[in-house]
Amino acid sequence: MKIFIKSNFFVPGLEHADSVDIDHPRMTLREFLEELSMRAVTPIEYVRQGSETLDPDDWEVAINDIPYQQCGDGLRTVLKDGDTVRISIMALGGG
Amino acid sequence: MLNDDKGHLDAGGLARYVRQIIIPGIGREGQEKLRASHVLVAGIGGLGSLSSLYLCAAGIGHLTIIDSGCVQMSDLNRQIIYCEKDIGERKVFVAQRRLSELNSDVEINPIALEIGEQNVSELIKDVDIVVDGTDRFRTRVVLNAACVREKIPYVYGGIYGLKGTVTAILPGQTPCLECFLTHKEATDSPIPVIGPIAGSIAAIQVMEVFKLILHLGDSLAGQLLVFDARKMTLRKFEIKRKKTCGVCSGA
Repeated sequence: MKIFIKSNFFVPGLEHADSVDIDHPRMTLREFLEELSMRAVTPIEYVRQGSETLDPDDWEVAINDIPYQQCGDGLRTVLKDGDTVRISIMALGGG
Repeated sequence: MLNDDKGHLDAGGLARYVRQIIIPGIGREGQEKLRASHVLVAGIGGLGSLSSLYLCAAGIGHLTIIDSGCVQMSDLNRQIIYCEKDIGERKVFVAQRRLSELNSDVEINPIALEIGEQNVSELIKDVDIVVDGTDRFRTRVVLNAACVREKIPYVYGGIYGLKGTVTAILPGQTPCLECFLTHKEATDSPIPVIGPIAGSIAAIQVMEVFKLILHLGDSLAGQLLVFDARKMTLRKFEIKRKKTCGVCSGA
């Protein structure tokens, strides 16, 4: 299946591609992010180890423009062919 | 004075800055470029108090510091330019005194104002580089837009808890802050902050200033540096320019 990616940064490991072809017929958002992480030369910890959430200071993730927290199963939401996952890196605001 | 009448470093200037002058790529010529530069530090809090100290110590010739706030007890865990006796005083005037004591050769211009759309163009006029140490996104976006408009390099830095982020924005060459901002304001108040994170990010911001002035090495232009002290990692991400950016798409 094909998952489209939108992001405010060039996702390491994807170079300038805007989609990923996945061999598995079924993949959760968490598995997808872990797959993306492994494509980078140095893996990226999108998901906090042992956690059911993203690191909220680092990333905003949405599936088809719906924040993943509102997708019912959160990180366990199963992605469908043609879904768009938006990953945004956060700029911090404190000074 | 540490310069002769032609603006060149004299013996006193050489003695003061010798430890950085001997760094390859800086030299006497680089030191004179620092001396000829005008840097604006917006916000003299956790980030700005530290960055202004480093800029001043290194011999930036002209430093404008802007902050409308007064020193509070809760600032002292990280804003080490201030002391207990300064509580209640305007930050910019305390900072001016300390910076002048550190380096009397630097022209310090303190401005006790809140930066907004109504005054930002006047404030950044004649400035070479803007260093953002503010703590509100609404001020940051105003500064970013003005710097893009006036084509002034803008060094963003932000902190939260045990993390910090930095980038250098070069109008016309790199994406701007508006291209990658996802939200405009932190939701919790007060924002959690600790001294070493503010110090680390401020130091990186100042290094970016030096690199931009001296054309020294690779800058963070177009890249967001993320420092995570919980994991002790530093990581750079290449930022995308937003084609529809209302600030820089025409720059």
